[in-house]
Amino acid sequence: MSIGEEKDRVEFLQGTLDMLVLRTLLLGPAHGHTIAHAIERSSGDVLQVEQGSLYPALHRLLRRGWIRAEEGISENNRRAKFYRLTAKGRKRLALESGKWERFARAIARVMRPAAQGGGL
Amino acid sequence: MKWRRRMEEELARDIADHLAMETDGNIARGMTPADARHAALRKFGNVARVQEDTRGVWAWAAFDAWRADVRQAFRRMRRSPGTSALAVLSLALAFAPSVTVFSVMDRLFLTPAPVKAPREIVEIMFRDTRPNAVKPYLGVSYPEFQDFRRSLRSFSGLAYESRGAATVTMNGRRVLVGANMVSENFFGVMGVPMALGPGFLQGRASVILSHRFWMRELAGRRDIVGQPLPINGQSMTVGGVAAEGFPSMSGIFVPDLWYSVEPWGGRLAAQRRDHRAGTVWARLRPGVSVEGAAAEVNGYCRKLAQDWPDSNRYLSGYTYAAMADHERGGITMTAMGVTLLGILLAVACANVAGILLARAEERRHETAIRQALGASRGRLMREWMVESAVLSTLAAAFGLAGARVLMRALPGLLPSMIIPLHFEFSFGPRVWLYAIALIFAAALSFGLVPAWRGSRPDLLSGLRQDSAVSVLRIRVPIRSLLIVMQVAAAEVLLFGAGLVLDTVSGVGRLDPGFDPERPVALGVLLPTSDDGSPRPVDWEAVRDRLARIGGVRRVAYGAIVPLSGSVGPTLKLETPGQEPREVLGGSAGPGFFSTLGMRILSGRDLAAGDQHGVLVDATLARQLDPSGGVVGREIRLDGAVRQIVGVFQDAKWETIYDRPRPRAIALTPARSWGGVTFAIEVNGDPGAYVAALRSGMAAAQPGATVASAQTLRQHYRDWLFLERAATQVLYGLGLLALLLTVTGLHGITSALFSRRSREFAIRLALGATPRHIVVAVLASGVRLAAAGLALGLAIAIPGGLLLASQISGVPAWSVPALGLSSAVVILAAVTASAQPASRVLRIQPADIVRSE
Repeated sequence: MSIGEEKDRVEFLQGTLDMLVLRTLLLGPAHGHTIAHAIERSSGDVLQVEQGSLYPALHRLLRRGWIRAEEGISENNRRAKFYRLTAKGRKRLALESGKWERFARAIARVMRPAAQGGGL
Repeated sequence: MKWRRRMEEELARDIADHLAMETDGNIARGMTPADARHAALRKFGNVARVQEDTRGVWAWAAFDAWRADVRQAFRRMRRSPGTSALAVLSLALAFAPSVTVFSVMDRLFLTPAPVKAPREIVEIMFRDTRPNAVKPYLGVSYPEFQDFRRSLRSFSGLAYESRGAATVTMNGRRVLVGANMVSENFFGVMGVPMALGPGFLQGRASVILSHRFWMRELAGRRDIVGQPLPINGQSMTVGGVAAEGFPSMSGIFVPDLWYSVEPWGGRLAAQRRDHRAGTVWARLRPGVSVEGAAAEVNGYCRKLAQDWPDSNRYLSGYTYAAMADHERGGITMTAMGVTLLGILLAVACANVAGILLARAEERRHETAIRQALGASRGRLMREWMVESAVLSTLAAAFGLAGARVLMRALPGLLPSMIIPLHFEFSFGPRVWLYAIALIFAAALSFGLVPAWRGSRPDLLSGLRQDSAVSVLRIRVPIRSLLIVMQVAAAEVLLFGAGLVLDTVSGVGRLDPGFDPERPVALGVLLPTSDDGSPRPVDWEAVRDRLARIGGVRRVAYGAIVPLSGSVGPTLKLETPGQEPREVLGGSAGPGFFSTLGMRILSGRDLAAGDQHGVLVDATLARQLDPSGGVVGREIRLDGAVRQIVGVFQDAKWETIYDRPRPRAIALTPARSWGGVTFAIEVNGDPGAYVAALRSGMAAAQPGATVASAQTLRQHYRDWLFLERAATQVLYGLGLLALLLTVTGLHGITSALFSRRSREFAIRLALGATPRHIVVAVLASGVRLAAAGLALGLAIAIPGGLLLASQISGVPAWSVPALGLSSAVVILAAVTASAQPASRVLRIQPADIVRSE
């Protein structure tokens, strides 16, 4: 989904971008532009979204009913489309976060078995 | 599509906003506007691709998963083309006849005629109460109808209808059509609206066309209303076109037009009280029951019997809810048909279920892995259901195409009648609904079992054994159970076909009273002049002309033909010392009966000049003198003294089911007003003379109407059409079911063989003879078939009783039907198992054991 131009950037796993978008919207409704910057900033610029790829993801989330779109005025007084997390999206995020944590822990165990003192 | 445009616009605006914000930010960071814009675009990526990807989310995302499943289903089907084709073919073979038969039933039984409140309509006829009445049911004459109409209080309206035929001249072309004479209030009483025009013109000779006739012969011309139309040479004004679909197609005789009786009411024939050519349609008043109305009719008939003892002494009323009865009968027929077709479809579904189940077993490994990776059971089941739906849809497409071909071919298979039947079958909305219901029923029925089994999480245990269910605590593999049911279904269908065939062959053995195998061709000639008006024709002149056709040995004509659908006139027979009574009549020309191969039992056939002679049939001869010597005796018929010249064998006049009734035949006058049938006896194939007969008749009497021409054998066969068609359809369905069963049985014995080939190899290596093993494989197939046969008989025998109770003339039980169907089923089972069994002989034990 995104292209890492440098070695320390990671590629997005399938579905990860969706989760990041949901996570960002947990803080409040935002425009696509704001979401892209928020993801970059909060990942310490490791996750760099090719900003355009955000839009298919947003529309996928809209279709699943996890977010909602509404008209609003941006901070620099522009008329823009804002995306807001729905209750269903909130539930989904909780589920996905849990899954993600388990996955990350499992990967970590696989990658550093000795340090954890165990295998799978 | 409006929605789509709005989405596009919003996305474009959203992206533009995004780029503007990024550009603003860049400018704030000190870039030049141009650089800022460039940087924003670079960071955003390819705008067109983003739009395309987003569109992909809208248009397809909802169907993404399903589309993937459908693609997957196709891929799987391609991987095993043989079995997939077999599955699709099995279903298509069941779909095509199902849809065709249903479309015919829809047309005949389920399409209601546009009659208002048909349950209120009753038909009134007379019933002759004498035990030996020659005509137990009689129509109503026009004067009697007028009496009914004046006196009966149970009805809000009574209408008269008399069936008949007429010639219509259009653009110089004359066609023979079904034309009924009706009272002017006929359409009002029936509650049938006009599609066009005002209806009958009071007191004027006017005609109403059926919608079918109007479309067929007049191309739906709207300016036809008010125009004159020559009918039987009489100019009648077209008063209108009846609503589409009236009458329904289920009657054997469907009129093309109706003309009003009132302008002709003064004619002699219409005034005769014993000219009972019509029937009365009446609409019940609100609150009056059929029984109540019948009681009033019967009471009035008793009064008629007193007022008119000569014509009405023995007549009682016969009042019945014709339309409601008809509707009920149609629904019964349709229900029986749908059940039969359902059995066939079930057999096909069982086949497909067997195939899919086998596939589920093959794919157990894959399923296990996917489940281990977290695929939900619902997801796996959905895949199976989609595969079933794809199979079913493909089969439906082929099946519907097949049904179309069958429907196109159907009208050509109908018998030729003097008044042509114009049947057309098509996919109506109910037929579509039925077809869609079939697709769903099929997909569900054969999809669910494999889906359930195939997605079942019995990862380890499942690897070793077949899917099975418990029947009476015995583990029965599902596929075997399916075969048992298939065999049972095939047996039921074949047994049913056997019962009907038994009836039909019984009918075929009935003596029609003539010899259909004689080299004779028949042609019907109606005495008309050029404009279609009736005109007496010199039959002898036509006879001379036909006799000159090369190869014609003998020509004869007669006004009455066996198996003509009509009983003929009744005559009053007076014999000294006995009460006058009714016998059936008719007339024939010299040598006509001999030409048809009707046997003269004593005396001789009618000859030219026999103006006072008469032929009697064996029944009348026996009644006149049980000892048999009636030739030469004089009898009084309708007041005229006739001498009996000969006795001919009893024949079937109306239908093949006629019971013997006394009949006397006089000589047809050389010139007459009624139509006659010419019979030519030829050298060789009579079929080759049909065209010559037709043109000969037309040329001999210009203006006369040639109504039909065909061979005697064809005439006979046409009258057994329904019986033959019913048998052929049933046998077709039965054999189709058997074919499907055989493929299923072959599949299961093959599978059994493959699974046990290792065991067989070891047994062979240990010294078992191949014969033992062949017998074992064969036996497993035959065992299944025998179980199916037992189940089938358990259903078929009570089913036969039901069939016999619904259709008169069908026996509930027949040893040949039972024996034949059982033998065919067992033979088919042995054949199906023989091929896999024979593979035992090719087993190389070493190879098989090594490959394990």
